[in-house]
Amino acid sequence: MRTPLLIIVSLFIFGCASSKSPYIEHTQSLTEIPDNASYHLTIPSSEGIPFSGLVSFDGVEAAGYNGLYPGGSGAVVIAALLVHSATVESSKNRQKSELQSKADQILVPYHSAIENLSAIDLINDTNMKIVGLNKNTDVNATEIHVQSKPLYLISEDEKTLVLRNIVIAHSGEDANNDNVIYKNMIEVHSNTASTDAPQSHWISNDEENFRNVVHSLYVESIQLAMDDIKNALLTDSPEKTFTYYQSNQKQYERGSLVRQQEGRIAIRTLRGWLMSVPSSGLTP
Amino acid sequence: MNIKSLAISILLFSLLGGCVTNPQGSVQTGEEFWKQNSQIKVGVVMTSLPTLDVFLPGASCLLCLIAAETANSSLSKHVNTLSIQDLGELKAALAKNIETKGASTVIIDDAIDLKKLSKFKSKLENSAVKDYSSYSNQDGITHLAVIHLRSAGMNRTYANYIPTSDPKAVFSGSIYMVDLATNTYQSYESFSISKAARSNWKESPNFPALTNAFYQAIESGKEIILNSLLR
Repeated sequence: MRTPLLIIVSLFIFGCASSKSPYIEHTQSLTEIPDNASYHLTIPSSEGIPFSGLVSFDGVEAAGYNGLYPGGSGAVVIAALLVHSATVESSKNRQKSELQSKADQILVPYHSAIENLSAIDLINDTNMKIVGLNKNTDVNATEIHVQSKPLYLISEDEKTLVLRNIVIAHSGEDANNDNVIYKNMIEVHSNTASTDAPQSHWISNDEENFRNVVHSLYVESIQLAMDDIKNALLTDSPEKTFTYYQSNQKQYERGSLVRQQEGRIAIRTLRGWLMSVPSSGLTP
Repeated sequence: MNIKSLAISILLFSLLGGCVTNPQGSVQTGEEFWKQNSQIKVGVVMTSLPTLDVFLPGASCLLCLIAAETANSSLSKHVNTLSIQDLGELKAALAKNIETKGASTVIIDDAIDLKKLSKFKSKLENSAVKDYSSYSNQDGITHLAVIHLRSAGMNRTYANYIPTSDPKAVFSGSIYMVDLATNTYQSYESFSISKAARSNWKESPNFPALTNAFYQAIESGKEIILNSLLR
């Protein structure tokens, strides 16, 4: 009786810790969308615009336990293994949560600037800049509902902002129907701020630079998503490892080139996600 | 503890301790070295490409290892599909980088087998642990740049049966330059790169995030190999 209880308690205690990391499986319907389709963009506005610190989990590893498991019946051994497994998993999750919490400390000076951002402004900005997103007045037009769930990340040195935007498109009148024609993550990296005082660069002058970069990353992500929904970013260019700079550090991403324009390149990653990064100093 | 036991313990510790060698620390070439560029001719050689593998350290008992191998069989199968053939171009790229310092280079086609080189001992500082003198007669080279590719693949740590980490892409090795006149390291840097998959790694059969991490690790290693000797 004690063994199952021990397992259940352990799983309850340890199974809860987890770190936030947006993920979505890329889905793309290759059916042609009519030119006169009517697009509606929605963004969850009630929660505000979420921000987080950019973090790496390269070093996460739970401490090893190389002791003996208790003997006795098979059930006791299995119970010991399950408890060990739950403890290890919890340790890994705790480390990830701690790293994330530490990275999130970077947000403290930006709280006011983040609170002043509005999801409605983001959408309005997008509507103004993206041709084809405005609602078509033709009552017979195909309705495409595009739902966007953005998460912004600030790099450790505060010089780069990254947007990870989950975009889901439904076809039909109901925005919540099951007819999903597109699901993807669109990741857009800002140019690195060329300043030694990034905090004041972003939030001085009534937070103008901060607001501008948040909006421009969002516009870029929706533009890419819209083009991808319309199957305009399909490519047979070969897979290779791209080098780009983030906060003056070389970063690498494996994928295929889908677009190169205006100082940026867009890559289709191995997951099918889209990633737009500055192309200055970029190889190959 | 009686005298006999103490003597045996001391003997055992001495024998085991004798096997321990201090790892070679980092050695930087320095600008002064490259000022003699007209007299420097660097042979560039590389070990064979490592066989890609899934490493499972900590799965120490036989049953643990079998369980771990089984649990990671799909990842092992995928790792066999990855390619590191472009690492073969490293020698030419490194030679080109060395030439930017004004030194001349010779690319040595045959892979170097470090196990076949005899051991070398000297009281000189930064003495190489292997004897590279056999290269000193080739094409008048004065220094030998060695790209040592130790291992590449995925690493997942275990405590007996239980994985203590998610699988991570790994690439390790060292890059060094030996002064063939003294058999000492003119430059030495070892590297061990570990890259985690972003968010979910359990994406069998193609493991895109781990594959991406793998190529990130390879590129990070290449960056070290190509620039280490120039610092």
